[in-house]
Amino acid sequence: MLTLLDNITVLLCVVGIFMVGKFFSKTSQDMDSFYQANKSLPWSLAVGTLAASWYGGAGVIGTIGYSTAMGISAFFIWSICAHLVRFPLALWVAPRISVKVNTTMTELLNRYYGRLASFLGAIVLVVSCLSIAEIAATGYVGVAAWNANKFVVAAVVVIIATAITCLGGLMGVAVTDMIFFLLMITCVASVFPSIFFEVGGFAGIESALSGPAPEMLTPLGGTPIGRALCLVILCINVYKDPSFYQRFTASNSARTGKRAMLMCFSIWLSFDTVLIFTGIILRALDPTLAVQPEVAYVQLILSHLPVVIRGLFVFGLMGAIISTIDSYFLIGGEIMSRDIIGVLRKKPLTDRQSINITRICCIAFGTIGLFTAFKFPLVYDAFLFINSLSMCGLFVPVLAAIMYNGRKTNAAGLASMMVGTVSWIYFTYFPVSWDVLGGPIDALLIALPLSFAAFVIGNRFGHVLHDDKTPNAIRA
Amino acid sequence: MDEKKIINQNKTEEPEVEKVQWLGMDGLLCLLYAVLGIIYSWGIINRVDFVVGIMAPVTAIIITVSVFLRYCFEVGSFMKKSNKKK
Repeated sequence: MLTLLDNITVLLCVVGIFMVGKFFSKTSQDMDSFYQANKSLPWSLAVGTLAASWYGGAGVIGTIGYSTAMGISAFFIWSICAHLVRFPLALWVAPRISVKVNTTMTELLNRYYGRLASFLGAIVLVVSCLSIAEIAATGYVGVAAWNANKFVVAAVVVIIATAITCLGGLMGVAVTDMIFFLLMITCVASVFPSIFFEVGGFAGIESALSGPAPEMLTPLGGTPIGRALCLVILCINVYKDPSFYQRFTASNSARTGKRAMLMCFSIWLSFDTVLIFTGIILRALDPTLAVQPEVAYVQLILSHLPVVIRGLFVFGLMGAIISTIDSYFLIGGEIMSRDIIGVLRKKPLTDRQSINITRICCIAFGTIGLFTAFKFPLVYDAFLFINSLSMCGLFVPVLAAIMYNGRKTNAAGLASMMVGTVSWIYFTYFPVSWDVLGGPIDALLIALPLSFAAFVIGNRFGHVLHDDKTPNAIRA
Repeated sequence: MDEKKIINQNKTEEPEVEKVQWLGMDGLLCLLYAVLGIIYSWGIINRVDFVVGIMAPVTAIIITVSVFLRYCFEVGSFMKKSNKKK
């Protein structure tokens, strides 16, 4: 539990973060500065905001949770292989995003596949920006740090995240992300050596787990190779993550976004190792997992940190969640304003109207997220459903728009979105099983090739709305 | 203006996508990931306490602090420039 001094530290940090947001509210007066920080993010800030947004509640708390069950296989499957799958995103996709995406992913869909494709994409993306999982994760930190009510802690976190987004826009979000990134990684990593050597290093972990869970110390943790491969392929979901698109577009050059993400891979790999082994140590200390691992993790770290630093750790951890929430709220608000309300109106929105609509949307997202995160399991399942669905519907058309310079028709975009979505729903409810891949095949692995096939077939029909070779001529 | 001229004009307007510099900073950052991945994997498989207990957290801290200091330096030099302009 936190002491009075720790709580004062947290309070001072919160005030400081508000001041950062207030400062940037003066500089975010038009759409370019509010949504894209005038496309001026330097390399260092791009690294900080990418890393902090990545390690939200699902990143830190989630990694601890699944490493208590998967053991070191979490490192080999998620950290090594999954990041390798993401390298093409940094090397080849990110520079093209900087060049091709002017504002949002849905603007890209509108340019190549027309208004209907853009509208459908916008609805799916807005739902996935509600950050329900992140809001729910704040509960674990609140219980461990203050023994507080989950809802109250989540409400405070949502208010802070909404305020940062409404005040400072992307630049405010990026600067606060940088502070959260520093506090979270330095606090968690600095306390890790003492925790690791206190349990006796590898020898201590092995002796504790050799009886109750020996599979935790094997590279694949009992997962069949086919299944492990499927899990790795599923990690391509970041290729349609709007927060990455926003960061790459806002970077001051194509090179900046690419190198920021390449740098992040090394940070994530090192930090993943720390988190995964903290999870394994938690299992070694409590093989039956009598206490919720996520709560036990926060309590373990707090017990090893001195006063004031404990406050900084809780603030950094909450900050990681806040930085993910505010990033998605900003993106969701931007899509809502530009690509849904803006498209439905006959008269174009002014900069001020667009920013104000985004701010109102952020408050609405926070309220919806707060009231759905804990109370309605069905709503949470629906959120997960739409989030997975967006991958199947958007992956092929979005990547084709960015990476393929040849002919792309509106029929191709719509067909791939529809087929990807419908086939995913079908194979989710009627799964296909294959023993080589360790049982039922994830619906995504079937839906994506079908979506691609639909794109190729659809490309024979319809109209080309935008040609990469002669962009202005076609528009005219 | 004929069609050819429009096409040529538009081609020059389209910014070129930069290629990956395998022998430059891009290659170095990829190499850093590969080296760290190999060392951590070797350390975990061979149960080397130093690699997991010291190297991984210290590497995370060093990179994070370096990135933060670089940002502070950039902000500092930007503020110096704007003060000079005033």
